[in-house]
Parts: sequence; structure tokens; C-alpha cells
Amino acid sequence: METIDLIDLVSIGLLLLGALFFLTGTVGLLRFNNCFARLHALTKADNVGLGCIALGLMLQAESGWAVAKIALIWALAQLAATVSAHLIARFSLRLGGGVRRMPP
Amino acid sequence: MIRALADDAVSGAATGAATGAATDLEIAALLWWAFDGLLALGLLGLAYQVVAGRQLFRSVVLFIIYGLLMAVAWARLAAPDLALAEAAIGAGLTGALLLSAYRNLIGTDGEEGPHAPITPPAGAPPMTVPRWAALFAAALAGLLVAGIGWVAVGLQPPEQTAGRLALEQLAESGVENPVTAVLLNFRSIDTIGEVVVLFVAFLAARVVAQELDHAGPGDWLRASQREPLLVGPLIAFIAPMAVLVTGYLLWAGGHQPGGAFQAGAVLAALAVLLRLTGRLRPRLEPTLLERSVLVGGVVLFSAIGLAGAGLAGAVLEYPPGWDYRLILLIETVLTLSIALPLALLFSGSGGLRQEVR
Amino acid sequence: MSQAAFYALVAGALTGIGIYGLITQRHLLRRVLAVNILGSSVFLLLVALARRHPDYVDPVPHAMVLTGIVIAVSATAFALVLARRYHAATGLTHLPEDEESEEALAPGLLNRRSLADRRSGGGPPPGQPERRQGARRRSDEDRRSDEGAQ
Repeated sequence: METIDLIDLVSIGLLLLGALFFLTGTVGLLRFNNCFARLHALTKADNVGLGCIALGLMLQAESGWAVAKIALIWALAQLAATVSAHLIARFSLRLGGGVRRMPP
Repeated sequence: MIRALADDAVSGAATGAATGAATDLEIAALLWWAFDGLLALGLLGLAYQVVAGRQLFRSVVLFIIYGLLMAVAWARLAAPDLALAEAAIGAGLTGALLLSAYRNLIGTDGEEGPHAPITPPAGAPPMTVPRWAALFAAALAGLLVAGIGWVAVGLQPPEQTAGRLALEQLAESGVENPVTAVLLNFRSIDTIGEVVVLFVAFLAARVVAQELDHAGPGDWLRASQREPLLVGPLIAFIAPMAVLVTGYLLWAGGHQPGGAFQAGAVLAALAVLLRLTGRLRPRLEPTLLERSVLVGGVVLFSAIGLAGAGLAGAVLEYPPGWDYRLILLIETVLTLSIALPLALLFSGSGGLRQEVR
Repeated sequence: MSQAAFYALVAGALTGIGIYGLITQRHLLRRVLAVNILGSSVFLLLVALARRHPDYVDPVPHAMVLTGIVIAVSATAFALVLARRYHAATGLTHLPEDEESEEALAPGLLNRRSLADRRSGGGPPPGQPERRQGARRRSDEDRRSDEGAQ
């Protein structure tokens, strides 16, 4: 099984990198103590992580349509993450600066 | 290539490839086992937190994550149809229902000022049953189910099962996806029954919740309130996309994972989103159109099924050559007949009306 | 151990957790959650059994579980509507027979009294927080605005 070529290596690297970003974001989510810091950790790290994983999977895709589907999924997830982060931050701001410890 | 390796590993492990060259395969099989183990640990841990966690809100959110992990488990068990349905219905719609019920039961309206606790201590109330009795009953039930599973897996499966028959007759069913074939051709009586159950649940919910505030979410956005900046663009993008996905799932159900249930769930999720953002408002009575959509699936399905008695020789049998077209027609109507009761159950109202913002 | 056997054992453990939660928890929402976990464990058992054949995956249990998922969500929705109506009528979030205090000895009395209070528009029933009145008022306004805008 010496068939692991360059594309596979790049793909594995991207997937691992994505997982690392997700791990970072999750640690931030658990460790930070206010809503905005948590959102900061979650949105930034997880979006990069998702991008890395989507790219890594695109390299493994069998056809152009699969690549397009992954790209679409990525775009939808980005949009949902953006809007939900905006709504959570807005709600938290109204509640009083977001300093109160929110339920994770 | 990685995927091919993994597939090899699964089949290799199944057939017991014990040659020296198969070390890579063994490693891959081991990784799959590690994945399964992690998944199982996650499911069990989440399930325990859901039923026994400290905060109710946290339990509800963890239940949604539990549903997503369950979808992954079903993908692992070679059931992609179920994974789609679970992600859309089990995690998505049930989660939305639970969250809106939570808000209503806990009663966090702005009356107590902005600093009111979102999650009052809803933790473990005093138990009326001694803990050992509960543990005993739980262990007994768990052992029973696990034992049934263990024995049934260990038994020599019979040569002729309904599933094998279904797979052998697949060419005659008019569709290529075996699950759709079972649902809409071989066992379509179950599917009719299921749509009836959904409709009855809707009727029962209407009877119980006589007023609009007995069910359904409160107004997250009032007309007087300024809408958050990003909600408009979100709807403008998501709404056509959800309709597209609905159509795609409906069409794909004929030959790959998908079908009326998943499509209906996506459509219902769109309605939930529109209801939450105030694009749709509750109304007590359904319109004529809504009424006909609510019963349309059952009526059409039954009519075609009864017509089969005359045209094809048996109730719920399709005339030869018409299978695919009839299945597609029924699925299209079923999608609407599944989506509307689900959306109305969430909305807690008899009907919906459009709101022009 | 095959994958099917492994997931069947997981299903057993989930059943145990679901039953435990159903027995020990009093809050209605928790019970709905526990029933859902219980249902999903049975689904998991069925899908694991569909995987036991070495050469094919049985589509019949998949179709059954797909039907079951939709029925589970409709039952959950109905249970939640019932819970809300119950909460709106009595102000409680658990069933009276689970009550350990003195009121538990006459649960029907408590129910009837608070229902009667609701109908006659009297004060809040005993044990019911004052803010439910506020919630009530607000939702009345909402309803009026909803009806009015039609």
C-alpha cells in the first residue's frame, strides 16, 4: 500500500489542521467566561477549521459535482454561523454587556 | 484513495483477511473501531446528561447534539436515508419544538427585567422513587434490549427475509432506492398509516391548545421591533435554497438516499424559520388550501391504492408500467402533507398567514 | 464482535439511560426527552439488526425506523402541547402525583382549584408565581395584535 500520494498527504494535512482549529475553538468555548469571548473563539477558529476540512474533502471528491456540493455546504454553514453569531451577540448585548456567565 | 482503503478494511475485517500484507487494513479497521467506540461513548454520555444533567436548558441543547451524533451513527450503520431524516427531523425539528416549549414552560418573558436568569435551577427535583429501584428497572430494561440485540445478531439469519425479497424485487418497484421502494411500494400501507398518525397528532394538538398561546413559540420579533440586520439576507438566501433542497431530495429519493420524509422535513424547517422570524404568523383556522394540503396525502394515496384494486388486481398495487410516475406523484403530495402538519405543530396554530414586513 | 452486535449493546445501554431518566425525573420536559432517548435506542437496535447480514443491508427496518422518526416527532409535538396547556392551566411543570408535599395528598383538589381560578379570573392559584399573570397579559396582547392584523 505505497499508494499514498501527494494529494492524499495534502488532504490528510488539511483535515488534521481543521481538527486542530476545531479543538482550539472548543477549548476557547469551554474556558472563556463571557459570551463575546466565547463567540470570538468559536466563530473564528471553527470557520477556519470548517474551511480546512471542506478543502481536504474536496481533494478527495470523485467528481466536480461533489466538489460543488461540498462548496455549497460550506457556504451554507458559513452563512448560518455568521447570522447565529450575530443574533447571539445582539441578544447578549441587550441583556447587559454579555459579562454574565451564559450557559454554554 | 483513503476511502477505498477504508472500504477494503471493512470488507477485509469482515472476511477475516489475516495475511501479512493486510497490516494496513488491520490498522484501518482498528481506526474504524476507535471511531465507533468514540461515537458510542459520545452517545451514552450525552444521553446521560440529557436525562440527568443539572440544567434543563443544557439538557435540551445536548439532546439536539445527541440527535446529530445519532445521525452519524446511522451513516456508520449504512443507513444514509435515516441519517438525513434524523438530522432534519430528530435533531432539527424536535430541537426547535423542545426549545420553544422550554421557553414557554420556564416562562422567561421580559417581565422580570433584562437580568432575569435564563436558566433557573430546574435541576434534579426530589425523586419519588428510590434510586435503587430506578437503577434496577433501568438495568433490567437495558439488559433486555441488549440481550435481544445480542441474540438476534448471533442467530443464523434466515435465508429468505423480507429485506432480501425487497432487494430482489427492486427492479419491479419502479424506483432504485430500496428504502423508498419499501416505503411506497412494498409496504405502502405503513406509510399511509404514518401520515394518518401525523394528521391525528395535528388534530389532537389543535384540540388541546385552544388558544394561540398554548402552543407554539411566542413572537420572537414583534412588528414594532427593528429586525436584526442579518436576518433579511439570511432568509433571502436560505428560503430559495431550502425549496431547491426539497425538490432535490424528493427527486433523489428514487435512486439514492432521500425521499418524501426528508424533503418534507426540510420544507417544514423552512416554515419554522419563517415563523420564527415573523414572515409567517399564526392563525386560528386553516384556510381551504391548508385543509386540502393537510388531508391531500392520505386522500390521494388511498385513492390510488383503491384504484389499484380494480386496475392492478390488489389494493395498494400500482398498474404495471406506472410505478415510477405514481410513486413520484404520491411522494410530491406526501411531501406537502408531511411538511404542513409539522410546521403547524411547531407554530401551534391551525393555519399560517403571510406577513409583509 | 461484529459492528451490529456492538451497536445493539449500545442500544441496550441507551434504553437503560432512557428508563432511568423517565423514572427519576419529574419535570415534564425531561420526561419527553427521556422518552425520545428511549425511542432512539429502539431505532438503533432495529438499524443494527438490519446490518447483521454479511452480504446486504436490510431495507425493511430502515423504512420502519424512518416511519418511526416521523411518528416520534409528532408524538413529541403533541406531548409538548399537552405540557404547555397543563402548565397554562395549573402553573406546574410536573404531574401532581409526583408531588411529595401535602398537596400531593389531594392532587385533584389543587388542579380543580387552580382551573377554577383561571376561569373566574381570580388571583393566582397557590404555589403559582405571580409573573405568570404578566406572561398571560403579554400573550393576550400578542394574540390581539395577531388577530387584529388579519
